[in-house]
Amino acid sequence: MGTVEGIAKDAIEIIVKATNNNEIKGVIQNIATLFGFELFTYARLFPKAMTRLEMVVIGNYPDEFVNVYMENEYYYIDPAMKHCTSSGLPYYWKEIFTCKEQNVIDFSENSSRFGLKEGFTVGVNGNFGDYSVFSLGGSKPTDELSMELEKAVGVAHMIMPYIHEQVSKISPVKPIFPTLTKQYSDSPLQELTTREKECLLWTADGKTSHEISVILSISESTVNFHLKNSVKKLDCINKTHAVAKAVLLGLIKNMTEY
Amino acid sequence: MTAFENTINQYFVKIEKSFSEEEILSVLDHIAKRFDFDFYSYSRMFPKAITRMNLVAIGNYPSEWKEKYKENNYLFVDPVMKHCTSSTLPFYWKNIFSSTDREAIEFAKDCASFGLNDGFSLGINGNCGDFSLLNFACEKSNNSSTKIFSQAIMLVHAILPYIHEKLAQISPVRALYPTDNRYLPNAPLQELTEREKECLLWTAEGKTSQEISVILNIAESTVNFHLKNSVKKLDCINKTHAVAKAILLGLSKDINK
Repeated sequence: MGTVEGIAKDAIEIIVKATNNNEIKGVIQNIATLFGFELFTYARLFPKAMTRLEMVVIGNYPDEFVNVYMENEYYYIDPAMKHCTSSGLPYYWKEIFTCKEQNVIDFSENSSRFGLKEGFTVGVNGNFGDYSVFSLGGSKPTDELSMELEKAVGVAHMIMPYIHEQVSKISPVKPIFPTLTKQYSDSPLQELTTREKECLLWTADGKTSHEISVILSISESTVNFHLKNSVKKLDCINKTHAVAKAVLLGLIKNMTEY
Repeated sequence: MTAFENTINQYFVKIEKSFSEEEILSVLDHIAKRFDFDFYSYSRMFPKAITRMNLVAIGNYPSEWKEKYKENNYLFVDPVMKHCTSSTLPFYWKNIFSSTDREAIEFAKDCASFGLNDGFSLGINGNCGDFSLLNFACEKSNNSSTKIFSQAIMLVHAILPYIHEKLAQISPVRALYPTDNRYLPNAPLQELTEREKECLLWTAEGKTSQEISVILNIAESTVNFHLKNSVKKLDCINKTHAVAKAILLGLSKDINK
């Protein structure tokens, strides 16, 4: 086996040039095999709205398991997902055995049936409300390869940002918002102007249209005009909806004090 | 185990055992020396509100530069910030000079006059609107710098998540509520009840209180009661403000649990 940085470097070289998800899959497959894991999955999750997530999944988990996962909405139960949406550290599947909740035990038993017994999951957060998770698993007890495990986690941390960015280029989730990067050019939605962003930003801070008109030295009707256009551009129902979407997707970021 | 792997391992152990910011600093200092960097800086940012960010920086950047940075509001010009708030990939400072962004080039020249000539930056996003940025810089760059940088970047990719989480634990940015002592950045979210979160969630989806009352099968006055309490708990002015703050702090991820 190569060194951690050697493995990661070779992988990254292919990842940044990949033009389709199969190439990415090949890279992950190699790494999984190298570290003795039979199964792997990479998922990029993107909020379409507060209540809806879109996913791009690359991996070799058995179809049947994926179906079971979706049907049972295991997403909400899966301790790896729970962990990775609140911490940047890896999740070792062994920790699942300390869980006492029945639905987690059921999930764990179901996963084992499909060969997903031991492994780990690593997550990375994007800048637009999106995030990625990466798992390597199998039937081989991870105890036996604990040194190997540490190396595998290291490689995962090194390659994740590159996979995350490349997959978002290859498979932009539609429809999302093109405002900050050109990656999402398939989106049918129009870009927000600077003024529209400013009006949304202050609305998000609890200011009324009148207050914003004073802050920005423009008329109140102009503020309302900008807000109305923002609501339309973001495909929203009202002001609060538009603010929520803009914050969720990282369309309005500002730093005026630090 | 190779020397590189051994190093990563040693850093892991050191970070794991750290109880203070100083101990984390000594890790950064060690990395800097190992790769011949003269300067390093670790900034942590946490939104106080959508319009205000709290920034705490540690490291050995020249204090004159830090003052100038603040005075000139460079945060808005800094190409590193621009890159790292829109990409999870490392940023090579050299790239500034191949860009056409005049403001950025001027900034980089100014930066260099303080000895911060060449370097790289890498950011990491937390789960509650928080963000960390690690910079390594040197006074002189040489031909082998690209190779050294790429090695250093690999190492930083591997240990940054651990530093980010550790610092959040041992030295939390006490940002959101200056008046109380709750430490965890997402503490305000934890204060909300499930019902309050549900009402905020549907409000964020553009629903009126009346519509939410139908969705959740409760009285409209109860919906308003929950929303009012949420606004209060999040220290906000109105509904829209509370929704924005809750999302900023990771409500969408919290809901998924």
